[in-house]
Amino acid sequence: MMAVQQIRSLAFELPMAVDRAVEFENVALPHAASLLRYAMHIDGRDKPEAEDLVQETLLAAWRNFSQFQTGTNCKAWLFRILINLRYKQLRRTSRRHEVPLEPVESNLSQPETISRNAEMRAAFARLSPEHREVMQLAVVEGFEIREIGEMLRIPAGTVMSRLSRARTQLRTVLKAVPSAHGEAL
Amino acid sequence: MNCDQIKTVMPRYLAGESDQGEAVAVEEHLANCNQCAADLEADRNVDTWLREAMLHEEPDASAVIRHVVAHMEHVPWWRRPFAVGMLRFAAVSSVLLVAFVIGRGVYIHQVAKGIAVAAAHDHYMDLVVLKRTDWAYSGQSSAEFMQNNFPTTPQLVTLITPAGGTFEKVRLCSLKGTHYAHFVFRTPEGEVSVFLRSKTPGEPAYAPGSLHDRSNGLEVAGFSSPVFMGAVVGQDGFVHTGAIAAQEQRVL
Repeated sequence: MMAVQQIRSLAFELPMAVDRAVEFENVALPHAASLLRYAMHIDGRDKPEAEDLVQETLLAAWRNFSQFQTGTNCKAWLFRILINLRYKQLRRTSRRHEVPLEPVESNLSQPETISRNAEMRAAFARLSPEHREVMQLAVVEGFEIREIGEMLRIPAGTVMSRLSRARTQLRTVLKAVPSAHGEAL
Repeated sequence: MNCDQIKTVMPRYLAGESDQGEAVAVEEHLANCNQCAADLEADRNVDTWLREAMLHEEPDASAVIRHVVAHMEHVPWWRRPFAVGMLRFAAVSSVLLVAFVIGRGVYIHQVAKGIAVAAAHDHYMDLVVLKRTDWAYSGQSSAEFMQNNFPTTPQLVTLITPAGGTFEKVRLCSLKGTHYAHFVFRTPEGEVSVFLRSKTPGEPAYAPGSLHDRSNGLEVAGFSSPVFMGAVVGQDGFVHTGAIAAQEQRVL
């Protein structure tokens, strides 16, 4: 709330803008971490690059916050913006990132967790981008199938079929790995 | 439902988005199909492990938030005139301006009214009650008066003489502490007084309109030209002071 107080203290701010800033800080900025996680994993971007995309997303959201309807799903709105910006970037650069199979883990994680999470991330990274995005949006971020279809501009049936194939592929990849994952599957 | 149908709706069921009928149909099938039940369990495990892998450590978005907030706090120069401080200033200024305009209008109106009343009083006292004798009458004395008081406008008397009227006399008088030349003309409608003085730079014009001095049976109309201020006084109901004042304003 410090930022809000700072904004309120500015003599050169519109009252309406201050209210909107407070609302934006309350409903949009808490999703920054989710957006960053999605941006980091969907294309295997390094953190600074993912931060640029999330920052661009949040600034675009702030500039267009008047179009956001209070009470609707702000997280879905932000993800839609991020996905649109990501598509725009991909079209512009036509680049596809090579995803590292062994992402860097936190030093605070336990060794067993490191191994399990690393295997899962590696398996996830082998999915196609289309499968990665539906899995991340549905399973990790918890969006409804209908919301994902709206974000990606694909029918709900396509979302479900991609989810089925993605899960099957993950199971196949993890089965091939001699680990706790493989045993459980 | 058969196994293929279950596979189709399984993502919706896993997401908890199946309606009651679909959920019941899926659960009935799973109760009788070990393979689909195993696949469902495996999918649930995949989801759980994926969530653990992705969510076990929250990415630090503080740098992004700092940048965004800094951008939100920045107000472009072109929006600053509409900002709070300026709005407050504008609101107060507007109130003061309105008060000033209204107050100035009232003040001007009151001054004009005061001058008109004084002109009517002077006309009444000079011509009716006191019948003063310090007039400069038509001829040499009036020429000297005009030379002394209006040296730059030698044709002034001719200019301000009402239509059909003749100049009779002039004297200096004081209306509300300001000196005016009090001209008297004879017209077919009756005796007409024209009070006149030079206008000071930036001085507001007299408000148009006539004032009726019912007690003395007089009517007064003010006029203002770029260089003169004045008032016309005549007998109420006979002399059209407004028309004469308009004529004075035009010719002066």
